[in-house]
Amino acid sequence: MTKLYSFYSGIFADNALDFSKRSSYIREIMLERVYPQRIIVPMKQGLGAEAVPTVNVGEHVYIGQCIGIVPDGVIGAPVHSGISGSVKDIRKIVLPNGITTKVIEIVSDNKRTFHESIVPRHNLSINAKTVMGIIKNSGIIGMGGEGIPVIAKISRARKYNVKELLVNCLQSEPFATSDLYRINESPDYVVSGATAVAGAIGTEKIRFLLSDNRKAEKEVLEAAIERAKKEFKLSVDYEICLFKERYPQGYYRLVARALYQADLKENDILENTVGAVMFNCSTMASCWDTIKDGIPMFQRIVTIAGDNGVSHNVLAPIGTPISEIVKSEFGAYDSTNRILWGNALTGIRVKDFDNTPITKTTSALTIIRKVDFPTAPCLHCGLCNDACAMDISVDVAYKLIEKNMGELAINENVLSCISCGLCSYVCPSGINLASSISEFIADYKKQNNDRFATPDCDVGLNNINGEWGSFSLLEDYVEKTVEDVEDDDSIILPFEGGKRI
Amino acid sequence: MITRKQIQRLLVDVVLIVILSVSTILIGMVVSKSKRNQREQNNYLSLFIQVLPASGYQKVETDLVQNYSEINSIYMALDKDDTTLGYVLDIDYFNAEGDELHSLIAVSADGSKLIGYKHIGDEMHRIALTEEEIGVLASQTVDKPIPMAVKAVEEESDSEVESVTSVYGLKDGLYYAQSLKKDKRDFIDYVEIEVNDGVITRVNWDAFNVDRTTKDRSESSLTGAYTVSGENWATQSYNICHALIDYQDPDKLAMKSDGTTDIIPGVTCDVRCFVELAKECISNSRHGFTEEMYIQEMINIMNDYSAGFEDVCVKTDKGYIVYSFNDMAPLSFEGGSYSTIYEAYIGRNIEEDSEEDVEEHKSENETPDNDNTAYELGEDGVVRDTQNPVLTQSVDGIALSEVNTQISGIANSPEASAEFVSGINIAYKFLREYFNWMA
Amino acid sequence: MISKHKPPFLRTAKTVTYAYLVILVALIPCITGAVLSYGLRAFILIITSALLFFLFDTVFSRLVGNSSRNDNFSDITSVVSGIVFGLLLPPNTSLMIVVIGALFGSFVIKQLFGGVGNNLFNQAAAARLFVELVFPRYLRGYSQPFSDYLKVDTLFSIKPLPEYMAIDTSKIYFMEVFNGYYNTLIGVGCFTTIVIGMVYLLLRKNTKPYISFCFIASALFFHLVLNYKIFENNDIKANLREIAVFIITSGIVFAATYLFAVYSNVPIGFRGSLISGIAAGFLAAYLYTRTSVAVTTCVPVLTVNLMTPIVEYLLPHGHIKKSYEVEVKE
Repeated sequence: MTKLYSFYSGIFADNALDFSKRSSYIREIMLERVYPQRIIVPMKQGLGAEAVPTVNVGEHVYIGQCIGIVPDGVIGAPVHSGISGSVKDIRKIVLPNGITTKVIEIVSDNKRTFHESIVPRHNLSINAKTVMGIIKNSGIIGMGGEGIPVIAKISRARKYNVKELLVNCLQSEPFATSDLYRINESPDYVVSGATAVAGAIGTEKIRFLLSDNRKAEKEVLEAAIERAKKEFKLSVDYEICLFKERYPQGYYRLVARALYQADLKENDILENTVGAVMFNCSTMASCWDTIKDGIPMFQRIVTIAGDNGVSHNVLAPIGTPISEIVKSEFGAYDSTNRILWGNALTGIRVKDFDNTPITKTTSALTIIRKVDFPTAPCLHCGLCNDACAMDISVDVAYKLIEKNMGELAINENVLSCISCGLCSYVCPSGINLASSISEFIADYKKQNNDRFATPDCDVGLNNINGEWGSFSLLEDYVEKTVEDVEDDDSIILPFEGGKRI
Repeated sequence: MITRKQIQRLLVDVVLIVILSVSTILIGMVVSKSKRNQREQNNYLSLFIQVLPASGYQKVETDLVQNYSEINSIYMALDKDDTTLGYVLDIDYFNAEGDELHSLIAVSADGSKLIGYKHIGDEMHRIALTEEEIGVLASQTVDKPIPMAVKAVEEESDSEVESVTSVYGLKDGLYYAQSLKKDKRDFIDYVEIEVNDGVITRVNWDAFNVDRTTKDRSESSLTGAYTVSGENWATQSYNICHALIDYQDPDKLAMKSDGTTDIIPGVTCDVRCFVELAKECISNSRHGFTEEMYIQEMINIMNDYSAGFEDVCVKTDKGYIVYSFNDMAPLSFEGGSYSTIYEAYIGRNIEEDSEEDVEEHKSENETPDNDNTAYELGEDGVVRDTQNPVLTQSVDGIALSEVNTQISGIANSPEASAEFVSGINIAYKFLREYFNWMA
Repeated sequence: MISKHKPPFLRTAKTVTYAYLVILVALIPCITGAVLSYGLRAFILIITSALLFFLFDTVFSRLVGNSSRNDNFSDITSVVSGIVFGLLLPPNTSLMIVVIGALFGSFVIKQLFGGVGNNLFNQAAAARLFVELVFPRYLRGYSQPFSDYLKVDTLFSIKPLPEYMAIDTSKIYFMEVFNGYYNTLIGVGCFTTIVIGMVYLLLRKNTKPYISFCFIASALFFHLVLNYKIFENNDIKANLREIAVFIITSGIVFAATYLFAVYSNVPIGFRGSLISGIAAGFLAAYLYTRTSVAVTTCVPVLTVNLMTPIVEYLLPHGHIKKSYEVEVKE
């Protein structure tokens, strides 16, 4: 009997929290690629410092060329161009999530010219350090939404000597299926990427976290794992952990609760509590994209879906304006719908479609019909409390916040809120619980200079001057032979050399 | 906001749920009906087995029961072939003081006989009868025809007028009544009845002629001097007298408006006179106005007129007074205060007696007509009116002629005995009305 | 209306109005059973009760100033309360009692506490208990079911009723008890319809199952414990029958289905439900042999209402009690 993990211990699971029916994934025959006429690439797309543009207006760029670089010693991720063309503008915008950042607007030349460094790697006998370097320079950040540079997580994981690598294949948000597509389309990349990262970290156990009702994905992963075992002949222990479909299972603290029965506090991380590190499956696949195909992170799969029955995955360059994607999908935008940057529960409504780009963390563009939802007085039904994954007394906290008694709301564990939106979703009275609490938390953290508050700063690289030229940062990691790797600190990944995958 | 899909879903749910609920309830009713019937029958059997054992009982639902506040419920007792064995009535009888007697009364299928009685015994205030007395009364009434009445109690009294304490009760003795007028053939009819144990045992109808040279009518009819159509008058007289003995009630002779009757074989003559005189005799019997007293009163009337009655009338061999009051001068009953000798007797005695004596002379009151507003009917039909005691001609609203059984009752509790009987008579009255309604 | 600019942009379809409409649909079996059992008077009692509760709630909310500021909100909670109140009445109850109950339930229980969602106690249960305690002689109007379908004169009577002797259920067949062939409240009689309602609510996930099941289980347990003398004989069949009769006739299933189905002031989590359910079950078992069905049904519900905020406050939040740490080698 297969054990099913879940962060929820109740007997009666409320199907309101199972959005899998809204995300019925039908694999497309061929992934549609979006070729935008222009892209607007933000220099800061997640956690970390803002990258510094390495190109100037009017300069020609290639696909895969690094256009934004992070100085040494600063956490961040370099940024690459997803199209070839010329830089039209460098300006500042405010992303829907509130991040103010520089962006580089590139107009396509429709030639789709790749940078010369984008070459596949044939010899995969590389050591951990190389892997880390490749990943660092490819600009890969957490694609599940957290946006932490992968290299930072790997370094942290090495620091804490974690024993397990968790690959998050749980896509429990409504309508989003980009991760599912990635798993179905290239399961070997997911497995191989995870193996490479595990090797870089130094773990020998990889656990793939998957929902129980994703039978097709389970099959392909199992097949990919078998192939990996045969071909790599590694001592890595692969395991597929099945979870009950429930939102928001994919959040790291809830994974810890389900998998390890560990209750992480607000500032705890997996690495130092349960000895595990978690990455998104698309992130792992991107890592293998970089390692094997030499492709830095300049494109990603985005789901365009919504409650009007549309569900479609596209491969779009990072920075593609939403208008370009929607136009390619629908031809024209239907004003009776709203377009959300993100999923239906946590997404942000987009107003300026022409100047709002997708980023490395944008897994979905959700299209929701404009529907008026009636409100009623709070019934004290307790459904919000029961639905809250973080065990917050939502109704009490909301009332306290409304009455400007925020300090008392802190006592109700309100700072643990992960803004999943579930409380507002289940509220029969239609009260804006999640957004009220989220706004309160954001204000509170700003006032208290919380170290987890996302810095919205300019790094100020005064010492970086001059012409950069055309580079991808991956030039440093050209294919080398095993014998060239002689480093006391290096760990030789146990890949069989020369074996084409 | 409710979406259309939600409304559709709810409507479908409503329809399905209503169908499911109704079918569930109906199935439940069917399934439990047999059990309920079985339980009810078991209950009925346990309740009624002592009064009327039967295979099954069926509650009788009728609006007629609303006219009888004492009746709680009525059940029809059935045998295995669904033939009606009888009726069981749950009767809660209340007297004027509010005392109660709750009982089960079983009556035969035709409503003519009491076949079972059981006292339920749940009253807060019961009428003055012990369980033993109730048992005695039950033994007196069960298997007897209904309706019933309690016999008159013969009290020892020095007074010539006995205090009447029973109702229908004919007092034993010889009673007599004669026509006060002669007929066309100068005959004065007379009827004589003899009462033994409260029952008419002998009746004689004859007539004597004013002309004393003419024989009595019966003898004349035998010799052919007096002829009527059909059988000779003597035979017809004999037949009708015996019919009266059988029926005990002149009304049951079914006299028609022309004075004839069809129910007595061989009687074709006019019997109007006989019926009237027989009723007067019966009335006299109830009042204890014997033949001797009757004749004496006639003598008194004659003496009141003149010093000697021999001047105006003669006596027959049997001692009857031959006098036609309205034909022969000077006495006349027309326009007088009295229409019968008994009334004259009463009138004479009321004038003479004191007020205290009047109270004892309960039989001195006139027999009332159907109009009962002048007096109050007692439970046994006797009015306990110290000012103007009156006897009724009905028992619990039932005509005296209908009463089929007279019981002795409990000697020391005549009123309670009458109340006991009243409960039974309620059953009779209801069934009479019920059968009429069913017909 | 909620803000259109803030997430989440997806909401449950189970709004307050829809949820209470589902409860109304779940009440239909019970209403059907009541009308088929007692005829026109039951129908009039239920409809009048529902209308009066709605009317008084609407009027009093305006008077007191608790009226909803939102145009789209339709308060059918009062209709549900009215129907439940009507179902808890004996069949020969006067409409006067309905009026008094509706006044009390609307004004005192709901509006004085602040209107919709702010009432501490269940409106129907509190009103029913109130009339039972204050006007006991007017709530003895029991009669044999499945008879006198068109009888309505009792509705307009204002006279107190004679003392009532309840039918001894041991003297009637079990199938008769199961199908409501005994004198009881109009909604409690037909057990099968209540079960249909409960199943429907469970299928629609429109109820809080923990408290309902904890209550029934607890009541059953305490009935066995407190009233053990009735089980002293060794007749298993008779003992099982006694247990089944308790479940059917005590009204606990009615309370578990309809009085706990409403959203307000009923614990939703398992621990809170267990604690409240135990207390309520104990009261139900204790009162069953000592008071009327109405008291047995309503007092546990009101107890749960009272306990819910306290229990929910005192109970620690969180699904997991301990945390797990892995030793990390430096």
